[in-house]
Amino acid sequence: MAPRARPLALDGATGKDSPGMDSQSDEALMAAIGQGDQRAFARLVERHSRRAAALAARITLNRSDAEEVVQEAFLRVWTKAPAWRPQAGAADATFATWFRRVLVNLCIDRRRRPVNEDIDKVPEMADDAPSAPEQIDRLRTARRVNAAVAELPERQRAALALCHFEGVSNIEAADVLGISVGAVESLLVRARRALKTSLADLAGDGSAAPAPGSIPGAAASTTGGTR
Amino acid sequence: MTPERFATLLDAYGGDPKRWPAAERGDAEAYLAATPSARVLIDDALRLDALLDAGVPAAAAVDAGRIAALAAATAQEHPATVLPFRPKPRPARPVWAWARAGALAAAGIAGLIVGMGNVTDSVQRNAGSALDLYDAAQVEDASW
Repeated sequence: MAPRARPLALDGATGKDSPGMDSQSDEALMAAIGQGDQRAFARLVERHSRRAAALAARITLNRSDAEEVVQEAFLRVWTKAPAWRPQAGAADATFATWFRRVLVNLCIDRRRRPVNEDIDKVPEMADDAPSAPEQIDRLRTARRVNAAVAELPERQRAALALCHFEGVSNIEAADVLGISVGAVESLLVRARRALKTSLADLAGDGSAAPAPGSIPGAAASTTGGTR
Repeated sequence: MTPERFATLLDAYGGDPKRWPAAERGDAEAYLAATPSARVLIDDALRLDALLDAGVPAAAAVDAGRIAALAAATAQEHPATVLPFRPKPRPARPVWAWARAGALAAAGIAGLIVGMGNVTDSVQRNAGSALDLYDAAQVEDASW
């Protein structure tokens, strides 16, 4: 039956057993996965699971949904790998773009559930956590921001997650979302304008979230924009 | 870079030039350097950027390690889906199939022999006709 010579391992030993695999490109790992190589799959999952989880969580705003979507996306990787080929010049030119596309589509198409309170809860603070009043201020701001982001339509949230948080280019975001660059820009403009409106009180005083290099007293409204 | 386009860039991508489209980044930075009033728009956009970053990192609530383990387990439950492509094995041919193929080949060869005989006769006849025509043409050419 299937070539299953080696057991799947997702712990740190994976890399130790096959040091060369760490340096392999995603595309090379996909080729190996297509041949049923479970270690290559484990390496790819290990390499992408954290960022995939972050992206999914920023779009779904629901921990259970995010986890399910990421699992489903990796299952697609596993099942599609035998036929997957990087296509130069195509929208899915690289594994990363293709995988993001799969993930974002799953996030958008999923059966929607209400925003999970867990995602809005306070994360564990690091050892260098600020003082209690400062923490409270930060958490209050974070809750407001999360609530405002949750009000955005999912495609706007996806565009924002890709371009602002993932740092992908507008061209790749267009590939991932299957729309034009102009449409991505339009989604971003609408998202940021909506957030600016709903968070005007926070953005206006500049104290809750001081912008790096900001000039005190700068105007708090953008007057330009064509969309 | 027009003022309107610069403002739209900030509206869409925020105040950090790293997030601006690569194709327009140079022009936008040149515009910013040459237009002191544009700094106000930058600061405004950076403030919203900072607010976005101040949101609770959603990934904090998601256990990526658990996802990875579950993905691995799920993949192991679906071994059949990654079977590499193999040509479908053909059933063994029975002996009578070879005999039938041999008879068919013999019939084909016999037909070929008979046919070749007819073709040879026909070619010879046609060759004779062609020579007659050639001779006639030679006669006509000689008259030019």
